[in-house]
Amino acid sequence: MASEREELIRVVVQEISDRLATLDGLLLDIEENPGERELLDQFMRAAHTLKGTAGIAGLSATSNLAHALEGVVERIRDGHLRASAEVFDRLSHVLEVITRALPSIGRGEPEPDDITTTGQALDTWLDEVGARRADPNATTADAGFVLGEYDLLRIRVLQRKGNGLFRVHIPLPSGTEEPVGWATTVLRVLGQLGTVIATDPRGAELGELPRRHRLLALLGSQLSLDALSEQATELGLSNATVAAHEAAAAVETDTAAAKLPQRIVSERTVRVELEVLDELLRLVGELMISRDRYRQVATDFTDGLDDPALGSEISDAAAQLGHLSSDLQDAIMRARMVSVSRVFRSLKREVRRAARDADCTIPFVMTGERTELDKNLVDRLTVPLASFTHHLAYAQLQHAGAQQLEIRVQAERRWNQVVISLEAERTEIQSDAVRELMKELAPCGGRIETKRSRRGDVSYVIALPLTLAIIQAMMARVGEEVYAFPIEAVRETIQLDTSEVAQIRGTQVADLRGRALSLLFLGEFFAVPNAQQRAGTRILVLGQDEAPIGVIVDEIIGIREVVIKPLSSRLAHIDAISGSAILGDDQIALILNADALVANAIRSAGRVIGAAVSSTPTLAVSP
Amino acid sequence: MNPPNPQSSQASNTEFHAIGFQVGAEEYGLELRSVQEIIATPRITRVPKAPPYIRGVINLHGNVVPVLDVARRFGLGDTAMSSGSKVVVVETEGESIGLLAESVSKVTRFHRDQIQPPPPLVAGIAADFLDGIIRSANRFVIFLNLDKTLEDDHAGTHGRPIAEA
Repeated sequence: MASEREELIRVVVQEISDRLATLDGLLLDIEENPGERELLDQFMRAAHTLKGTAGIAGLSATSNLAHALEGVVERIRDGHLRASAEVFDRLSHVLEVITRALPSIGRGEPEPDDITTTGQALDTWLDEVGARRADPNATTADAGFVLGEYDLLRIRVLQRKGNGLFRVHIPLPSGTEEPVGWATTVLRVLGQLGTVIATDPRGAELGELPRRHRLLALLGSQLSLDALSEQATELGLSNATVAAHEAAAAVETDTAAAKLPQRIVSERTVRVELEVLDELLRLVGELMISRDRYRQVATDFTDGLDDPALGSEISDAAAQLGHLSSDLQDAIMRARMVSVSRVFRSLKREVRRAARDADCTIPFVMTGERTELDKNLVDRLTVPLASFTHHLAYAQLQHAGAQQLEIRVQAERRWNQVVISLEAERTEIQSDAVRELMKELAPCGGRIETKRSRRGDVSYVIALPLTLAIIQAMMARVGEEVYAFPIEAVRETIQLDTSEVAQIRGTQVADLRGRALSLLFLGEFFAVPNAQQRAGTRILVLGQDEAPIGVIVDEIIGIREVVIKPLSSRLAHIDAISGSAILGDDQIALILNADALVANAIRSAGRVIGAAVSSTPTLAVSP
Repeated sequence: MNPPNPQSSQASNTEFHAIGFQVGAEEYGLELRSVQEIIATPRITRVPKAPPYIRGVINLHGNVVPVLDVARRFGLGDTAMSSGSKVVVVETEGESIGLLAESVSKVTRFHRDQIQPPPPLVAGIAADFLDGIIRSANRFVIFLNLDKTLEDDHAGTHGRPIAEA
């Protein structure tokens, strides 16, 4: 049983992680629309919540860092700090530092030092750039208005009486000699239109007006926005601009401000520990193994029965059980799905960063952000995909020069896969980067394919399973060993006839609709004892359009849903094998990595297969 | 099941419990607390392209666990498989791994000071791979350094061309 402290840490880490995702998204939005005040306010609120949450668990360094984060954005909002690329880099660095620290914090370890040092570095930097320090005790929930407890109370009372909240901006006429006197007059006029709740600069600081060039007033009024503007002009405040003060939540007290939006949304959802879902998924996996075993037993049993009615009842029950467990699996998988928008945001950041380095822009077009993917997959693949996109963006820049060529990313669900395509106009990425990504994808059952259009556009099509834990696989037997080919890797299965096999430059090839198909004898390749590998058996076709290969096995068993069991790290270096699965009869089947198989086969095709050919017309190869 | 082992933690300063397992002519000792469980050898699924000393993988309560052949690991031939052979499951670095054993002997209590530093080569195994040996009137037990033994030196298999004609 977890101790109370562990429980608290776990909840807090989850909360922080959610908050970081929000901040990360907001940061990108702000970068795009730096002038949009509501976004800055949202960012500050989320940072503020982060600060509080970290504080609850005694994570003081994280809490301080969140406070610094809030401070930076506050300065941007109040115009003390320009929203430069450097600022965004620093902010996103802070988010990265906290994100990186979360796993160790979750394990109950103390906060890593770089949280503290990052916080200090940020403070030092702020001092250097001379951005004004905000009063730490003030409620900074709104634009320049410093609102105390009493002000908040007044706001609530006014709102209850049907007053709207407005922000009035009155420029200080140039050459005003008595700014304080001017302000007093203005405020008296405003008083005729409603209740002045707060001003910026504050009453005590009105002397600062010449430096600020304007007076801001927060006004509660029962008038409409139009009426208010009109009457302000009539009363001589012709330069005043009035805007509705939207941030209603911001005028609540701190804690209420953080909780308000969630309270409304969360009524339809319950937060569940990811571990619970993991466990459920694992159990469903076990259930499916049992289901397969039961099915097999039922088939064997009914085959030997004389009573056809009883036989069909048993197979109906087996089928029913099958449907139910599939539905259950589906439901649990859905519970673990999150949208790919988080992945897309980090891709966007990479593109933006690359463009900024080169001092140009690369339009980044996203479609299908709402497509959903297993949370674990999203967590595991965000960084590799971002790094891939980084390479793509740089390749694009080198190629495009001054032209503005866009990068497109698209996600869509196709049956039991999610397909993400990344496309850069007329740009191709180095194959190293593709291989690198392939290596990350393979253990998750994902794959990447390169497609070229006639025009020279290249798209990278990344196919991912919906979930990490269960895949559909084509099962094949070689000798006494059973191997699983992830279904998305199998293009088709064909029947091989001896007469259709030819030998070209030492490689055995079959004719696939007029196209040469290199052959790989799996029994030979894996040195399987007692493999038959005779002609006339079926072949699994793997690989891409340009270079398909045919894998010869002894028997194709059929398509099964298998639960992926990771292989020990001591076997991780075997690139042709990506994992394992336990079958209905408790036997283990190794899951093959089709891409590595194709690459290896093509590389060694000449030697292996060429050397194995005998002069006899059969394809028999002795191991 | 992990055998209950209440004494080991209390008396660990001077005494410890170990099991011995036999491979070829040698007896290897494992401290009891590193042993997860001992099972009759189940069906072992061969893993192609794996280092030769990984005999394959087994299904251990729904988890897939590799099985190591100590004899092969040190180039001392093969561990013989019979109806009496066992797999000793140990946990290192958070992962389970099985050690193939021709037979397993009873739990014995040893004293720490019985452990002697290994000579440069014991039964064909370099001292690097050993924590020590225990020599008594009727027994000679080799204590392997598990981490070192399990350390990958798959350069041989890793870098080797795929075709092994």
